[in-house]
Amino acid sequence: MPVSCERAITWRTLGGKLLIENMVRIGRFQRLGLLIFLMVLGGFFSIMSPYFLSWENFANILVQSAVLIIAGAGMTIVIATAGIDLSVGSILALSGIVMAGAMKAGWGILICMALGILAGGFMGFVNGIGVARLGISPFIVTLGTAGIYRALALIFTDARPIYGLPYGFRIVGTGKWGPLPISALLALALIGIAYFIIVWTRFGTHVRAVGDNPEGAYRMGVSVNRVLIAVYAISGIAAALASIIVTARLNTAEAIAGLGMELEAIAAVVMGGTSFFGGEASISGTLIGALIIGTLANGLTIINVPSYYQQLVIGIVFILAVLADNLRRRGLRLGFQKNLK
Amino acid sequence: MNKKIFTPKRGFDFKTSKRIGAALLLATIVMVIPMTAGLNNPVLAGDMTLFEKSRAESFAKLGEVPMPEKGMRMGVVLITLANPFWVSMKNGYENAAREFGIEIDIQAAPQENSTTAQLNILENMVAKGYDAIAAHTITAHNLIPGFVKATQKGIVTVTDWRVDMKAASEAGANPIPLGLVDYYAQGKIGAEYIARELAKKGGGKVAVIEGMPAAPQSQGRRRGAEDGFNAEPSVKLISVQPGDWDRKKAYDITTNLFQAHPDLKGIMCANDVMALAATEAIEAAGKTGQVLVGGIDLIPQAKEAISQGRLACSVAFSPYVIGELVTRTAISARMGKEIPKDLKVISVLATKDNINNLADWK
Repeated sequence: MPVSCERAITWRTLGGKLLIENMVRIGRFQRLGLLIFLMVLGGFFSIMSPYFLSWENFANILVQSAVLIIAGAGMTIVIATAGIDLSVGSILALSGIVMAGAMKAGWGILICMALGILAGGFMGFVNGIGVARLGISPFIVTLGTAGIYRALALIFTDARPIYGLPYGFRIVGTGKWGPLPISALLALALIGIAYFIIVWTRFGTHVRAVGDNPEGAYRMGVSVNRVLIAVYAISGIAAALASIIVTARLNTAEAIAGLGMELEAIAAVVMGGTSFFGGEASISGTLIGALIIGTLANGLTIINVPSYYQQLVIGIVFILAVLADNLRRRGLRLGFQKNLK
Repeated sequence: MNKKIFTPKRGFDFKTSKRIGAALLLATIVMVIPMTAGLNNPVLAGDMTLFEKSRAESFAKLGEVPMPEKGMRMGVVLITLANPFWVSMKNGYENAAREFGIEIDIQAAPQENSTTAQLNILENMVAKGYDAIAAHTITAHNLIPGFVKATQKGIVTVTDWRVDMKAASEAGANPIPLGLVDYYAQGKIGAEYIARELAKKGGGKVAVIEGMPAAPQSQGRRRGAEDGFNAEPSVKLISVQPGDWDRKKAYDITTNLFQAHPDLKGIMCANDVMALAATEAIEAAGKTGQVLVGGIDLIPQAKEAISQGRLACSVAFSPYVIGELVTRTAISARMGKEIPKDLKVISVLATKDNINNLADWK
């Protein structure tokens, strides 16, 4: 990968710590432990129930994880700058309401979707302004705007759901392209784009530089503020895109949609190996993290685990997944050190 | 024939007594029907709609409400206003306040799980010194410290049965607990309807999607639905899943249930939001019309879905009437009237047969 090498040199001249190691890590598949864990999980459910292992159910899992994959992709980029976006669930609700409201007013479907995405992007932009220009901590800004956007959603709708959307729109959530569900395709395409942005573009390098060492990035001529604003806007756009799928599948937009969504997205990102301290971003890890969460929800229903035990199992699996990944990575690092000697 | 029977010679013969017996039986049935009608009879009572009828029935047990003193002020603590159900209850409170000419202030916790924030609201209301306070508690215990303060200040407090009354009285609080809603009956009425309809077609597999597993409403409705299904031998309850009242979760659960049980015939959900999500999932799976889905609450969207035949049934109980009933109870208690135990609002089964009579339900 010549492009990566070139960048690695730039990185070294940046003088940041661990930069080369990060560069090597990104662009290659590092989350093998997590992937193995996902397969073990799938294998377990396949043994427990004859209905789990089928193309149809695989498609179900993809569709059910689609929202998390898209929101998680945006969240990964935010966390790579050592930030966080707690307003994802609220942006999802409000942009869905903008979309559905416009559709109910008789506007064209594509225009409405564009409007919703614009709204999401704008809400993210406002977050970015708060973080970059006003210098408030991302946690506080997005916690605040999470409340503001949720409140606006409630005020606009008076807590009443908007339902009965046009067929052409619902197809995004329920339709299939050949054997492939459109919503799953959309999610995979979007996470592919996120991967491309992070690994192959100058912007992606800047994102990680800002997360790793904002001071250093600034001195190297990276416009830190602009990167931060763009990152939160992207997260807002991702939330709005996720909202398209949620709204289309449920045929309803409501103010309480996506409640707690941000925590699930953060769980997927962190389980995927992206560090809270910034500077690295594992989009493929986020994808697997989201799939683990989706597979769990699907499998627990199929093998009919009683309600009270489901949360217990989910908690244990979260910890085991990260542990499996850590063990594998630690093993790798030890081996690496031995070779050095 | 007739001639023979009514000939005076024969007097009170066997055939006549049989007819009198039949007439008595008929009269009994005619008299019993209105008594049981409250739950699931679609027939209109006089000129009243089902809503007006169940409203009147819900108020009957409390009896006449005394006129409140001039300038009586009442405070209300709801669980949330982020949900049409609670908005409708708020309207009920406001309507009753207008009707009896009292002042009313209504507040709600920011979210359905903000237990501490709700207690703070109650304590602030106690400090403001209302004449009466009604509070819909989030958990069995979170409002008890506030009730204690209200009792110390001599404020009439009305709440519902979900408050742990033993803990409350030990702490020195004596709020008036109302029964308000029989969640168990709601789950049972809905499940029984689905079971009955399925039994006509030879039965089949059924499932229950409950709400948040720890919530008392969810537990009551789930147990009711389980009992309703288990009472019918031709249907088989195969799964009970937690949908957490969430549209997306219920949608995914339904999809997954069909993966494991393609021949699933009925789903009873602990509320309409989840039931509507289940119908969307069923339609997306290409099984339109093959599965009976039941919900609870009769929200406007469910009303439409029932008249379109997409939703089999819903169980209606009026949050609006709850608001009115609690206000009436608070006024009565304030004016020294004795409050009967277990005041409840009446639940009504809504199906395609009576949905047109439920147009004004709120």
